[in-house]
This record gives sequence, C-alpha cells and structure tokens, in this order.
Amino acid sequence: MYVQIKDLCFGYKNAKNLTIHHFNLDIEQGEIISILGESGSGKSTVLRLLCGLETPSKGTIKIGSQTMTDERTFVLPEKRGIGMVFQDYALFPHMTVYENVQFGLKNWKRKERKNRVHEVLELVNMSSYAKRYPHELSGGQQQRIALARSLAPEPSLLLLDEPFSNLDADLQIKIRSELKEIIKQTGTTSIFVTHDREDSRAIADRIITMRDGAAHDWDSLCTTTRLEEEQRQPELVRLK
Amino acid sequence: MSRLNLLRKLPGYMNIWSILSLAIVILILIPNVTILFNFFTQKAENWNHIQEYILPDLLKNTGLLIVFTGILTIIIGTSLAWIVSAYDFPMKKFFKWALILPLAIPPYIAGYTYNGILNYTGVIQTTLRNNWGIEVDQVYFNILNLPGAVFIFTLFLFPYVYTITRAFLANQSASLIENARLLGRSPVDIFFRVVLPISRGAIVGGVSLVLLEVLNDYGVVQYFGVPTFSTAIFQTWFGMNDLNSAIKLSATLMFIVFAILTLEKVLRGRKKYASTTAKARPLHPTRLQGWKAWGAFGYCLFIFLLGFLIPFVQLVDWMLLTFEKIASPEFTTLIWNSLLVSFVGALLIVLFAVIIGNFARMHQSALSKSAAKVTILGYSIPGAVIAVGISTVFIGLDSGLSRFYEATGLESRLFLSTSLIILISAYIIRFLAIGYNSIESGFDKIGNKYTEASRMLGLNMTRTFFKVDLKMIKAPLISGFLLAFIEIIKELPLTLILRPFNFGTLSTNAFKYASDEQIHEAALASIIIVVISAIAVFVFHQVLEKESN
Amino acid sequence: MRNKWFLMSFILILSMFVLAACGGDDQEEATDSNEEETTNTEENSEENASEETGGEVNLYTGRHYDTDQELYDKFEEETGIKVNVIEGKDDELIARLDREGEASEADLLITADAGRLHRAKSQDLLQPIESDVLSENIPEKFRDEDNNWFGLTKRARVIAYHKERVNEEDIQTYMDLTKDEFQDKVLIRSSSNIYNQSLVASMIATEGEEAAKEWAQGIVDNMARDPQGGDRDQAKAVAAGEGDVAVMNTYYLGKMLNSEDEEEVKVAEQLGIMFPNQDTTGTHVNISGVGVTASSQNTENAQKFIEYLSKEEAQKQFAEANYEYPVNPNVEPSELLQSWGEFKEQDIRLNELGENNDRAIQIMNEVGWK
Repeated sequence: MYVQIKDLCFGYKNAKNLTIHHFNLDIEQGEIISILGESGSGKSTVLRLLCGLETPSKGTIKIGSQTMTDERTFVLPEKRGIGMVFQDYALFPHMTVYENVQFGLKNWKRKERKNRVHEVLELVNMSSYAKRYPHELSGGQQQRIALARSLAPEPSLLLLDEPFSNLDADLQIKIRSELKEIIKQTGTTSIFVTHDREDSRAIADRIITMRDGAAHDWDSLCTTTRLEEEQRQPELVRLK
Repeated sequence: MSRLNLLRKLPGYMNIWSILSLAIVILILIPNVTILFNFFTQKAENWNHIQEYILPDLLKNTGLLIVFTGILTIIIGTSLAWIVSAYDFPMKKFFKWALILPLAIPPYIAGYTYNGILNYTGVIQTTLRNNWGIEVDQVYFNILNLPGAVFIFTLFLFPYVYTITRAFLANQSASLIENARLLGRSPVDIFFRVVLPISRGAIVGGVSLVLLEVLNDYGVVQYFGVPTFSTAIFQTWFGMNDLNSAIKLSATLMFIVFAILTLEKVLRGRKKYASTTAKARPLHPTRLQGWKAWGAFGYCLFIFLLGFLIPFVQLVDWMLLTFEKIASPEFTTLIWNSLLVSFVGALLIVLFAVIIGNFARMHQSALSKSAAKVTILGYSIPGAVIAVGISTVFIGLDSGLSRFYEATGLESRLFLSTSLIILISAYIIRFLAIGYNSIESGFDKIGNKYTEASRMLGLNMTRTFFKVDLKMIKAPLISGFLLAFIEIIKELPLTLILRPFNFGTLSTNAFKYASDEQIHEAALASIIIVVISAIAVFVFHQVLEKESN
Repeated sequence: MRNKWFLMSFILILSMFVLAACGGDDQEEATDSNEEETTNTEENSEENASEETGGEVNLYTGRHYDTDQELYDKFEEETGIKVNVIEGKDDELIARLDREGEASEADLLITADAGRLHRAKSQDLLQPIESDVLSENIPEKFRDEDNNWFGLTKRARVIAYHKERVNEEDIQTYMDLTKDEFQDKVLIRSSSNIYNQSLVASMIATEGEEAAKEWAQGIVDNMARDPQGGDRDQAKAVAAGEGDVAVMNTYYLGKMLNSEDEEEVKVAEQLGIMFPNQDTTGTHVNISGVGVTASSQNTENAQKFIEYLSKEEAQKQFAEANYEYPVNPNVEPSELLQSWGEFKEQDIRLNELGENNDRAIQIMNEVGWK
C-alpha cells in the first residue's frame, strides 16, 4: 500500500469528544480517493492531520516508505512534500500567478524551476496568465492556479479540501472532469474531501464516507470502529 | 437635469445622519480654516531666515526619526504579533496583552524616566560607581539624542503596529500561512515572504498612527534636543511671534504626511493585500519546544521589560522618594478631573465617529468620503496649532454671544472659552481619528447586508441603526472608546493651554514638575496616569479577545 | 472565565468613576470630614471674602512651584481675595492673552523671564500700576520704566565648573568659555531655551551684535556635545567628565545641593560656582516677574497681590524655598546663596532682553547652535 493510515485519533483543544477516532485508510499509488461527509464529520481534519498541520494524539501515517507520524516521529508539514489545495485556494495576494506557482520550488535549479512552472501552467491551461495577480482572475482560474501550485513540487500526495465549494454549478461540472484529467495525467495519488456525492462520483476511484470521525467503506479496505452504525446506512452503495 | 437629479436625491440625503455629520465636519474644519485664513493676512517675516538656517536640520531630523522609528516599530510590532499569534510558549497569554501596555506610558514621561535611569546619577551608573568603582564612558549611556528619541518612540508606540497586525494575523491569514508551510518553506522564510507582505495593510495602518504621533510630539524631541517641525513651530510661533512662518512649517509637515501616504499607495501598485477570499479561519498556534519556546518567551519579556516594567519600577521608586512631599488631597481632584475629561471626551468621540461612520457607509458619495477624511485632520496637526485655532473660534463665538450673556446675567465675557467645553471640543478634533478608525473597521466587517435586510423589513435608517447596527459594532465601539480615553488622559499640550482657571489634570501636574526638572516629583501623577491607562489597556484587550472568539 | 474577567474589570472601572464622581461632587464635604477645623476656617474666610472684601483675582502664571501656591493661599487667607490660577508655558499664556484680548478674564501675568514680560508689554497686554509700596520694595532696575511689570525674584546665569579639573582663574568671564583651552569642554542647553536666548540678548545689549555673535560662535565651537537636556543635565555631564564647564542658573544648583537624591547632591558638591564678568559688565541676571493685564477687571486686587508678593514675608519665602534671589533689598537671600558671596550684576534695562530676543534667536541659528 502506498498510503497507510492506522488507528488515527485526534481531538481539538477544549473539545470534549475526539474529532477523529480510530481512523484507518489504505490507498494505492495513483488512486484518487474521495472522502464524503457532512460538515462537522471531521473530514477536513483528516486532511490537516495528513499534511501535519495538526498533531494526532494516536496512530501512524505512512506515505511511500516514509513514516510521517507514529509514537516517536512527527515530520513537520514543510518537510512532508504533500500538496494541498485549500477550500479558499489561499493564493498569495501579493504575488503574481508565476510567483505563486514557483513558491514551492525553493530548492530547484533556476532553469528547472522555470521549466516546471511553465509545465504545470500548461497543464492547467493557464500559461497566458502568468503575470496576473490572483484578484485579477475568476474563481475557476484561481482554483486552477491553486492546483498548479500544489502540483508543481511533485508532491507524493495531493490533498484537496472542498475544491468546488466556491464555484458556480455549471463551472463545477466542467471543472471536475478537467480536474480528474489533470490529476490522472500527473499520476499523483490524491485525496479530496467533499460533501457533494455528485462530485465524489465524478472524480473518485473510490469513496470513503465519514461520520463522527471514523471511516466507513464498502470495500472494507479500512476497518471501521462502529460496524453497527454502518449497517444503519443502507443507502450507501458501492459506487465503483 | 442635474437640478432635478439633486431634488430626487435629496430625501435620501436629508436625514439626521447627514446633517449631524456635516455639523461635526464643520466643527473640525473651522479651527483649521481659521489658521489657514491667517496665512493670507500675515507676513512671514522670518521665513527666509528659517529656510536658510533651520529647515535643512528639521528635514534631516524629522526624516531620520520617521524612517528609523517606522522601520523599528514595524520590525518589533510585526515580529511580536507573529510570534504571539502563530506560536504557543510560556506565559503567552500574559504577553498577548502585556505587550500593549507600553501604550499606557506617555512618551515624554518615558523619555524623562529613561534619562533618569541612564544618566550619571541614574541607578545603573550609580550602582557601577558606588559598588565597583566603575566609571563608564557617558557616550554609551547618553540617551538625549536622535537615536535615543528613536528608542523612546519605538518602545512606546510599537503597540499600535502590534495590536492591529495581530488582529489581522489571528483572523485573516491562516490558510495562506499553512499553505506556505506545505509548500516547504521554513518559518523565517514564511515570515518575510508571506506574513510581512500580506499584513501590509494592517502594518501601514499601525505605522501611520505611529508616525503621526512622532510628527506631533513636542515633549520628547524638545527634551532630547532633537529639533523637529513641532519644536520649530513652537519656536517661530510663540518665540518669534511669527504665526505665518509657523503655518508654513505646518503646511510643510502636512505635505510630508501626505507624501508618505501617497508613496505607500504608489509602491503597492497592482498588488492587493487583502485576502482573495473572504473566508476567515483563525490561525492555530503551534506549540514551541525547548530553546525555541524560551527564545520566544525571552524576546517578549525583553520588550515588555523595556517598554513597561523598567520605567514603571523606576517611577514607583521616585514616587516613594517624594511621596510625602507631593501627595495631598488635591490629587483626588486631579484624578477626578482627568477621568471626567477623558470619559466625556472619549464618549463624544465615539458618538461622533459613529455618526460619521454610519453616514459614510450609507452614502458612498464624495461628501461622505471627504467627511471621513476630515476626521484624520486633527490627528496630523500639532496640538498647539489646534489649540490656537479652536480658541480663536471660541473667543469669536463668545463675543458674538456677549449680548446673550448679559441678558442671562452671566458675569463671564468668555463663558465658552474658559469652560471645559473648549477643552473637550479640542480633544474631539484631535482624537476623532482614533475612534473613527476603530468604528469604520467595525462597519466594514459587518458590511451592509444586515442593515439592508432590516430596511427591507420596514425599519428606517435610524431605527435600523439602534436595533441592528449598534448591537453588531459593540466591540469596536468599546475599543474605540478606550483608545480615545487613553489618549486623552495622556494628552498634554491642549490641556495645558485650554484649561479653565484652577483646573488641573494628572498630566498637567506631571508637566508642572517635569518642566522645571523636578522629575522625581513628577512621578506620582505619572504613575496614576500609567495605572489608569493600563487598566484601560487591559479592558481593551479583553474586548478584542472576546470579539475574535 | 474570560467573560468574568471582562465584567470584573468593567465594574472596577465603573466603580472608579462613581467613586471619583462622589469625590468630586462632595469635594469640600469630603475634605472637611477629615480636617474639619482647618476647612471650616478656610470656608469662613472664603465666605468673608465674597461678602466683605468681595473679590477674586485671576492669574496666568508660567512659574510652577508648589511654594508659589502656598503664597497664593496665604494671600487668600490674609486678604480674602480668592486667587484663581492657570499654569502654563510663558509663551502660550501670552499668546492666549493676546487672543482673548479685551474679554480676557486674566488680571495678572507671571512669567519666568523679563524678555517675555517685555513682549507682553509691547503687545499692549499689560497696564501701568502706580504704587508706592512697589516703588519702595522693588529697585528701579527690576521694574519696567513704565511700571507695566515688576520683578519678583532674581536668578543669575553662572558658570559651574569642576573644582578639580578647572582653575577658577581661567573662567572669569563668559568670553573665557570660548577660549581654545575649553575646546570640547563646554556644556550648555539648546538655543530654544529662553535663559540662553536672554543671555545672548543681554550680550547684544552690553557688547553689541558682533560681539554676541562671536561669543555664540565660540560657544558652538567649544561644545562638548550637541545641546540637550535641562540645566541639571549640564551639571551631571560635568561630574561625569563629559565636559568641564557648564552654564546654568543658580537655583538649579541650589536644588541639586538639597535634592532628596543623594547622587544629585554628590554631583553638585563637585562643582564650583563662578559669577562671571565681575571686572567688566557683570553677571547676567534675569527675573521672574508679574504684570497686570490690560483687560483686568480687578485691578485693585491685582495690585494688592503684587504688593503682597513684594513684601518681606513673601520675598523671604521665595528666597528660602526656591533658591532664588529676592528682589526686595531688605530681604537676605538664603544661607546657601549667601555662601556664594555677593556679586556684580549686569547693568542693563531688562526690557532689552525682550527687544533683542528675535535677534538673539537668529544669531544662535546662524552659528548653528542647536
């Protein structure tokens, strides 16, 4: 397995209950996973734990051959090499598109860096916008730049947090097929989080549903802690 | 056509808000216009002399003060704001508000105090000399010079940058900063490449306040022997009796202020610094471990010691030295007077700021925009200039009302200009900008949607204001009130020259002694000022915290 | 938790206001519960004042000493005339008088410099007072020739030198400060200081503009450091070895010798005091003085007030408490001042300090005196 998440637990400070309890998930290389859940189900927290913005209270995360988190290790987010597309894109407002994309390519050689920026801009079809500032772009364009920026450093894992929530309905349909194409082209293992079943169905190779901080999945690739609850959800059908 | 258009628009404009706003704007403008009027009627006899011998030095000193104080307050203010919002370390909760405390000490008192600590008879040199017989080179302990003035301004004004930037970082920056980390950048890298640029708006806001305070200061630069525009204005006006040259100097000063603000806009160019998306998420602080945690703790402690605790302890020491000589029942009156004018002044400032703020928000017109701009006017003019302008106006009013006074049997011929009314009006003109900034940002945050919803539901503007808006900007109201309160209780030049007979405040009492080099005797009043302001700072912080939660 | 704190501090502040409000409203009642007897007598005298002598006198003063206030209180006690005070800076008070014009409520103006009184006079803000008491108590030299203002106290601007490093013989005159041997040794305040302006103005009067400018240039050339701080700071700099000689007013030295801070006493003890120009034009003497305003409505009371201050009792208090020289020749200066010996005073019309003030400032600017 390429990504292995075992027995992950996490609770926010001041919160009584654990936000994530005993979360398990395995992902193969190149797979696109969708985590589907209602708001407050803890799905975004899983992403934050994966990329190291939060520290789990228990559990292990392995990506490739590298252990990111266990009892002894905690790799800092900046050292993980994980890409993330934020819900609000978080493009740096004071940098041009070009500068935004090359931000993650700190240790690259100059020439390679330049080539890489053009390559990913090409990939998302935004080459001609390199000199623009984010506020001069439309929502869909901003999202593509955010995607390009996180793909540029060739991340071992790409995380997308509600990537369509800020887009119009028509745009959403167009973009999600585009998105799948781009990600598949790069072969990047990806996890995206959404509350929209249609989105999941359109993009994901496999869908995980989340409820109360644990994963439920008909493929039983990951174990669940509350089987009894899962059985109360006949509406969840295997989608692939 | 256009007249028709105007008639059509009139009902929208003719309401209590626009009328009141106009009245306030006139109140602020008249004193300044009065001074400008003199500009054309009096000759500037000494202008050539000033240009040749004084102006070059003024420009140099003022320039150096602005540049270095600006840079240093940015460095200290933003770095502290960043450390406090992005990390957890020992005693962080305390530092969060303790780092605003330097604002409670008026810079001129801080200047006297630091000179008292560092000079030949100060505690440091005395200890070295008497205990170990060490005589030090005075050059290293001399604070009465330009770098010393920069030191004082930086330490006691940086909280403006700190508070504004921290509020921004805590609420606006989370996803950008997290993203930068995921893209593999180190914390130092992130601070310079992301944090500084995105908080530019907040930093500029804070630094403008700092620089205006510096340009306005008279006490520190006069004592430190650093001639600046404000000392030169005093000298030409009151010393040479040459009002017109003084006005020319004021105009030059205003030009500098304007140039700085414009330069910043030009440099900003096409870039935008507000976040591209409006979704705000609080920044989760990271827990620091080991030496890093203690490093952050040490840095905060260092600034807190220099900016508050050391001068405060020194003042307490001096107070104990002179307490029996100085303390008298009179101090109760002084405290009461200080609280009274600060309370009433701040209350009216907030009230006026709300009126103009609401007007500017509802009517996006040139008139309302200029009303908003006028509020800053008083903040950028030296206190003494305001004092002269406003007393000219009030004396004029008094002579106009003299018949009325006679009819009512009032003995005084200068009823208005020898009452507290003139003093409080002067405070309003001087500090309206402080209250307005706070309230404007509050209105910005809630936007127009609630108001619009309420008006659609049939409430008129005034009722909407009381039923909806006022409740939503409660926190900015309180913080605007407190900031104005702190400023007024520290204020000196206006109070000194516009107060009625037998009316003293804590700051005039401190001045009375300090102006005659009786620094020890000035300590008691200074300490009471500091303690009252410190309580206000604490409440101010609680309001900010409550709002961001 | 946070809410609680917020509430508590708010209540604290509120209660402070309430307390202060009570304190203020019932100010007089509050104090007399403590000191019933004294306040009662005071109140009585106040009542008497308004009923019998009926009056008050309004004072703008640039002097801010606690001892002055004590004198005003005594005056009030003895005459029943209530003294209302606004303290401020000399220049600003004059500017305020000027703006208020005819309508001004001030009856008296006190400043700490003769030049300022002259300026008030030349702006027609003062009026002449004819009084035998004043003519008798105050020597002609320290009165305005038109009786527009009257000196109350004198202070001499002297040279303080380090007793060990400087030979008294070398600093006999102000001019000696410009000698080469004092290169980088002279400490003096900035040109914005009125005492320095008046010193230069007095030199213009005694020796002419050229000589005054030459002297100012020489001082600038010999300065140990850029001018900074107050008079006391100059004395400290001598003790610290930054320079050897300082120009300062006598009463600051007196205050340092009697400071509650023993370190200041130590500093002052290292200094010798030199009254310069004894063989030539005399030491520069300035006064703080008082005038009755042109707009005064209580001229009689104002005159009584000035007369009171010129009498021996008040003059004695000026001399003892503040280390100033009394203007009344019948009153001896304090012991400390007597120990410094008698000296020859500069012999000029004090109005000249005011007449030459503008020129003095210009000269100082021209030679680069900061």
